[in-house]
Amino acid sequence: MKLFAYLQSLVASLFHRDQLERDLDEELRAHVAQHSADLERSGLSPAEAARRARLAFGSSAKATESVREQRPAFFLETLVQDFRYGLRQLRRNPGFAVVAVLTLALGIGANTAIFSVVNGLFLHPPGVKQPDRIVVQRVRYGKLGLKSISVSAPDFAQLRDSQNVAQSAALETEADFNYSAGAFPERLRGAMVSWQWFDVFGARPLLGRAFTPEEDQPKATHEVVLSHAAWQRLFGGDPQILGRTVRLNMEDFRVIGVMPPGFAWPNPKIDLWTPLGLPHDAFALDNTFNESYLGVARLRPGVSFAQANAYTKVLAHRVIDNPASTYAKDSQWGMFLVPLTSFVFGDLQTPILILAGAVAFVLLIACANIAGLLLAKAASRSKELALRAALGGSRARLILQTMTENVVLGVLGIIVGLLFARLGIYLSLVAAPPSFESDVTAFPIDGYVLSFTIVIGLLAVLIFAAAPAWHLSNSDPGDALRESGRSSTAGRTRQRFRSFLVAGELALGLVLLVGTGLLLKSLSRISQVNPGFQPHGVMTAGLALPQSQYDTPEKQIAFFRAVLDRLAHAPGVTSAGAGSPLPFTGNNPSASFAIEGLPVGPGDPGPWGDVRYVTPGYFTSLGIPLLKGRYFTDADRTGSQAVAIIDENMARQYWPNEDPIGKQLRRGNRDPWAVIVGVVGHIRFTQLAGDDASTGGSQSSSSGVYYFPMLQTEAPYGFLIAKSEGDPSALSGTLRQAVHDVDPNQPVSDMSSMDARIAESLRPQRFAASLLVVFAVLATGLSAVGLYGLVSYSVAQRTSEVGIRMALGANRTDILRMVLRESARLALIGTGVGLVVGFFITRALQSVLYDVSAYDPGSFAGAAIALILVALLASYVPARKATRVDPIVALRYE
Amino acid sequence: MPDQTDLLPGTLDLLILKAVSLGSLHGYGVLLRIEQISRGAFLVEQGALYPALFRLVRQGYLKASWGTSDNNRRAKYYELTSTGRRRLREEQTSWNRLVAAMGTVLGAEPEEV
Repeated sequence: MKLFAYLQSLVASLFHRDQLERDLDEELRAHVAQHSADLERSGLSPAEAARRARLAFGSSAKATESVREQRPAFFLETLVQDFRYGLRQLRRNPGFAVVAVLTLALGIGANTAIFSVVNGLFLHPPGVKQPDRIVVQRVRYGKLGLKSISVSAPDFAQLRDSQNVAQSAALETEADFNYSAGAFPERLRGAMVSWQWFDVFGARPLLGRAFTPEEDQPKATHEVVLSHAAWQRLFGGDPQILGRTVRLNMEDFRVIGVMPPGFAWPNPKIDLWTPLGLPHDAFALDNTFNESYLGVARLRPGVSFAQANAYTKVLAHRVIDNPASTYAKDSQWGMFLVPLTSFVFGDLQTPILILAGAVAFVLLIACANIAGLLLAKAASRSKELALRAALGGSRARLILQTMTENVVLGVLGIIVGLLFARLGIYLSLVAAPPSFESDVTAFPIDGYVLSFTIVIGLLAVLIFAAAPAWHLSNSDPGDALRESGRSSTAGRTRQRFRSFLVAGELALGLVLLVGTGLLLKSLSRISQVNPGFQPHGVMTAGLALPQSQYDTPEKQIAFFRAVLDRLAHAPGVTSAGAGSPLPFTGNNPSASFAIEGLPVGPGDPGPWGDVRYVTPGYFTSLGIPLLKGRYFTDADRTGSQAVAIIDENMARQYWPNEDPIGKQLRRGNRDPWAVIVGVVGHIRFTQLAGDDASTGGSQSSSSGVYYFPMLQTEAPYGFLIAKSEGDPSALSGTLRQAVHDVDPNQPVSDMSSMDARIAESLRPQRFAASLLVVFAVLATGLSAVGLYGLVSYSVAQRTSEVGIRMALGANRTDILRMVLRESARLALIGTGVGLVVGFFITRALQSVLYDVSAYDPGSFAGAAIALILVALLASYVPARKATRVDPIVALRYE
Repeated sequence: MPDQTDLLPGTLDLLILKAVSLGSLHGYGVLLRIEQISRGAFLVEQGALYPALFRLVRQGYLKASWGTSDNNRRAKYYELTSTGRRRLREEQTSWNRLVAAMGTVLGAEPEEV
């Protein structure tokens, strides 16, 4: 009954609000009328009776208001009302509104942009269903220092066949294809995948279908699925593409599907997928230590990651406990799973966290700024609010109302912030590193991003609204009414609180400046690292000979010889060579080898090193210094004595006290022993600073490198290298022409100068640093604006004081000094606090710094000086205004 | 509720329920009735009456309907619901108990302790 009455009243108050208002109005009027009629009957004149009745009833507005408060829908009603009121308030004060909304939007936008990148890359990559259910299979070799590398076909087969754990599983290896359609052949980026590849990611083709198990067979591999980008670029988005035949690597492939725009695994620039079609014997157990594939699986529903990983360890023991081979045990081999998200997150985790911290600082500063503005506004609003309190507005109601005004501000900030984020992502993608290469659609404003933005937006409102609300609830309406706008206690605490906020902003800004300084210094140190070779003037381009056409080593070697011969005699070329892999292409394979006369004891995995196949010109063109013996020569060819060259690291490790020249080594048991003929210098191979980390494949960093002559073994692929005395870009035509002259069907790919490749390897660091610069500038700028606002306000408040001082003989310099002294004090406090906080926070940066201490005094001092200069500049402008005060006007002004 | 300073908190509701229990009344009538039965001891502030009436309606103790007053004006009349009647009885009992207890306490003499 009670509940029913309540619901009835709730419904009534929600849907019949006007009716209720009219009823109430009529009821109250009837009340007054009856009272006045009674008074009239007792002998008063009608006018006097009406007056007394009204007086006795009191403020009818207050009565209506208190009745309204009894209504169940009161909260909603006032919310709408306050929202409208809030908008009106903002419109009445457009200067404040624009500054506050823009400030907030900058803070929110920066956070949203960073979060949407994190979301798009790691948390919820587009085109992938339930990314948290996908795992990547990895193996390790404890003794060889390989912590996490790709897997072999037999490794994968074990996981694939564990159907109680994996719902679907797939194997992938990257493969480029020569595509000839127009005048020039083109190199397309492809991936050879086992048939469940798309199932693992939960991706459905936009057109057509994915592969069937029958198509994923050796010698049956003639279907192709196109990426959306390739479909658009090569075929103009032709809807009739299905069933069409395209020529890839001189063979016919049938297009059976097109993937949607979002899906681009394993590579953002992928053009096409073909079936892997591994032969049955590839999965044989003796192939276990031949890792060259990315293995992925989708976990069966209900299977946790920990369960799946534990099961994988059990699977690994089949290999470890295999009595036929002790290699797994000797090398401390192991197999494990990594969640897809952390696999991708990997190296980017620290930089992303740093950027996330930076944008959080920007938002905090923005909040402090708005809080300062609100406090200043509260000074002018305090009379209005006091008046309303005196007229019967309850305190809770007034606080709620100012809160709603702030929420209106927050909502506007969120909307504009989303726009800023969009714009920011668009602009920064122009400068993005290759691993970020992607268009804006990869970072959509989806539900996750939107919720994140709304949450931080409202959080921001809570933060910046807290100070003014606290002040409001602590002020006495009578006080505020008396307060003449200056020299009152409330005004002074307010001003002191604003100063405190501004000092905090300056401190946060300083921390960001210090971090940015450290990162920039580290970046400049890295780019000064000597790579160990001479990259200047070198042009390079990739070649991959199709198996169908170049099916024997003889044909491959003949092709490369012909091209190099042409290159060497081309004008402008001082030296030409070829080899695989090339430094700074991200590729760095390594392999076991054997040393003649060095027995491998039990429990020893044997020698291990990075391996390269090169022509003589590889060393001379890249300027890799010869330390001992000789380079390869043209005489090291098929049929002559097998030879090898090692680098100084390998010489130190395996022949520490003897001359390695003349010693012999070989890769496989069936290969001939190769005589070491030379020792060369060690060069940086994948990055200038830190470990030469590997990227997929059976690749790693090892302590040494060994080279084999490419033209003595086989040459299915490799990079062409040409050196000139001048600008290497002049050589790109030369390279292309040399290849074209030998075989017009062979495209060159990945054409780039060596200097550009090295610069490219620094792009992630550059990108992170430039974003940090943007955020630091934003943070410092915002805190400068905060200081500017504070000083301007205080100058305006003190106009008459300044007038008196000037009338008493103070000159302009005195006034300037007086105002600046105050802001210098703030700047010093902010700097001091910022230095201390920075001292603790920059420690987190140490892992990404190269050759720079996280406590680098230069960066700290530079940041402090920069901040103090900015602060003085920000306060100089309003301080000058103070000196222009005309004492007469100032004293008359009240 | 604000401004019920002349009355003990909660007593306004009881006074209204009692007044209305003697026959249905409009708002002004409630005021007059309270003044009359309290022999002028309680002067209910007029602006506080309507919020209380509204609250009692919402809580289901009173129900309101439009009618015509003795001087031919449209007026909203309030009457007790059955829950309202029960509430009045309960309140009355507890009030009497409170008054008796307070009387005993305040009438205590030193020798009784």
